Amino acid sequence: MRILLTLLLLAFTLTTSAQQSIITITEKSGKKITDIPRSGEQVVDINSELTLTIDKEALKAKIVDNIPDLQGSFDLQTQIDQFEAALNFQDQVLTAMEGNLDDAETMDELYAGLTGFYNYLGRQGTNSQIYKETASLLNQYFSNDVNTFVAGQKVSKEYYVFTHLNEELSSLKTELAKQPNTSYFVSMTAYLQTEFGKAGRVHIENFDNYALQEFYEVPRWVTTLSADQLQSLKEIQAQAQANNERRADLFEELKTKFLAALPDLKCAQEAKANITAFLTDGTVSSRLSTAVKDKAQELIAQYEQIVGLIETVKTTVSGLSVDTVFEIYGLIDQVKKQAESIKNVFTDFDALIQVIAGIQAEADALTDEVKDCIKKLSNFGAAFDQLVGILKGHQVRYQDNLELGKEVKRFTVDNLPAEGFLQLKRSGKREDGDRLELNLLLGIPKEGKDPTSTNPDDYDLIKLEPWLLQMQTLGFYSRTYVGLIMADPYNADSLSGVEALQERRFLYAPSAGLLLKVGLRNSRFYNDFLSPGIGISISTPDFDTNGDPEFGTGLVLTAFKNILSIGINYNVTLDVPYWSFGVNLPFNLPGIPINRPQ
Amino acid sequence: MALQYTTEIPLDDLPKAQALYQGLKNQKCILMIVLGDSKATQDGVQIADNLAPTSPGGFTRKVMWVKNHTVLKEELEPYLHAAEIIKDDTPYEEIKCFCLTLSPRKAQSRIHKNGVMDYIRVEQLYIEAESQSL
Repeated sequence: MRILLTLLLLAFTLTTSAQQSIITITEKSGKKITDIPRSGEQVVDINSELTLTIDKEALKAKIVDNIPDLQGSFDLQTQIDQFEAALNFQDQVLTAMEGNLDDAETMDELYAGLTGFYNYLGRQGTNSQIYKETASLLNQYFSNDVNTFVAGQKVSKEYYVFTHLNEELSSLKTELAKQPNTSYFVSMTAYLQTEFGKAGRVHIENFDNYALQEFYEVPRWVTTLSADQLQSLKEIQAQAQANNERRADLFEELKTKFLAALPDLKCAQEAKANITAFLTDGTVSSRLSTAVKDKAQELIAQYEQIVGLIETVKTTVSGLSVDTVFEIYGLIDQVKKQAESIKNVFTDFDALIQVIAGIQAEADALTDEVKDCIKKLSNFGAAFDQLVGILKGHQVRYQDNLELGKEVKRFTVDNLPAEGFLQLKRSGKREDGDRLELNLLLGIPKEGKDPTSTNPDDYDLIKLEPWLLQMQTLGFYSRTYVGLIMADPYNADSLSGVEALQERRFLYAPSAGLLLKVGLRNSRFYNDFLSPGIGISISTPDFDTNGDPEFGTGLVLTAFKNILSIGINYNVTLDVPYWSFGVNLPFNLPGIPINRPQ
Repeated sequence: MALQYTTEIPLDDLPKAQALYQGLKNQKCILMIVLGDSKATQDGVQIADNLAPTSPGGFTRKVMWVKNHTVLKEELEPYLHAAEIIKDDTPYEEIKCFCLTLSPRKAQSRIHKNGVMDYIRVEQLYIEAESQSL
């Protein structure tokens, strides 16, 4: 039982030690001060000021983990710091003792210095070197084993102690100078990560010389649509009109389009088979010249290559990470080039067969099939190119974040500022849910490189303590949104004669709303994923499909960052109540008529 | 043990003990009070005695040694109560050493019976009392 308890205690101690963070973040929002624990959700108020306090002892321990040679230097430096701090009081004490002690001001000075000195010793504790050394000197002073006389006069214990502490300090500094010269530096960087594209360095006062960004405060109460939202609303309006005109069943259309957009790409194999069939067709084959047959074989070979490439892409994409984006980027580039090459070879092939008399019908049929496949291949390449472009942007920022520009200051533990300050309002344009990445970095010279080099490439950079803060408007706030909804009237029968509603149940309509939402400090899952909202919405359905939108209004409930919405509405123009829902996925698939919510 | 500035309080003669205490109390001196008779306490008394003639501000320092926590308790305990040194979890019996300022007499802090009574801690008590006597 005792062993078990010991093990549990040891595990707890190790866990506690492991969780000890180097940086302590304190958030100031208005008059409210909040500590942000590293073990928590790391959610901060999007308009707050952050104070980053560095625990130098924890930092030293972490540095020693990476550079064990520094242990001796750090221990000596700690002792030197203690001796210097204690000796800061010596001038005050000794000067006052040499002065007129009948003078009240002198006595105040004397006792202020003595109080400071002994209190400092007390704070360092009986195990500290400065405490042990001072206690030893006082023991010596009263032991009569040492000479406490100068010019025949016994010196005060204060003079004796301070004099010998100075001597000890000098010897500590000499000892430090003998330690191996291990070069390193510590820097801290901050980086804003927005959802797509926009990102950049954020200035940390005391730690870099980057300029502050323009002042931008994320408003708590938003009641009007932004210019971007208005533009989106117009686009959604056009999209809704186009969708309604197609009169397809919504769910079937979604299903078909989604499946069609999947990179199945059987067409590449089918095209290859069609070309082979074309070559072996009895009525065609005899009319083909050797040049045409050679070109056809070249085309088949090209298709075989692209099929292999696409299979590799599929396999690679499944294991894609931010570090392997370039790999897939290179593959996609090959697919694109291969598709372009197929297009060129086919253009030549097509030109050759079009002039052969007697096979026009077969040639046209083959041309249509192959052209269609080439188009699919191009779309596939373009879609993935977009994905890779986004991922590549993330990777560039990820890597760039570790690079240190000349604006980032470099410190050792001795001259490292105790605090850094970060104003989120001056960190640039940002939105709820955006991330702020903080990195405390240790730079170690690469083997064979000059340890005094100022070139960042000469150093290995190690992340000592990364933080990934989520910026969020906390508490209640309002946001506007626009999106596409599917509207279903309750009493469609009363609208008999309206053509659209006889053929389908749902009609598309653009919608805009004002939502009340809540941001939480203790749940990223809620902020990032659930993020429900409740509010009022307006929409412009066109139930009678006369091209003239009606006006509808109602209550709306949204979830999953407004991706899903459900509402109860009333078409004021036609006196028709209707319910609606919207699925506004945060991406576009080719042909799927849904838009990213704003 | 050569104690030059220390008054040992008799444990078997209360009137005399009170008289000695009153005598010390009425003197113009910083008064270090040591309670108990353990080996560590005896060493601590010697340290307090050694430090007595070395006041950097020229104060007169005296040491009063009461070898148990019974004698003079009624006289001494109020100082500790007034300074909020004695609390529920720290009774008088757990105090080893404290120092009184010049008149009006008052204590500031103390050394617990488990605490170290070395030169630094004892001098710190002297300095604290002297700075409060300026």
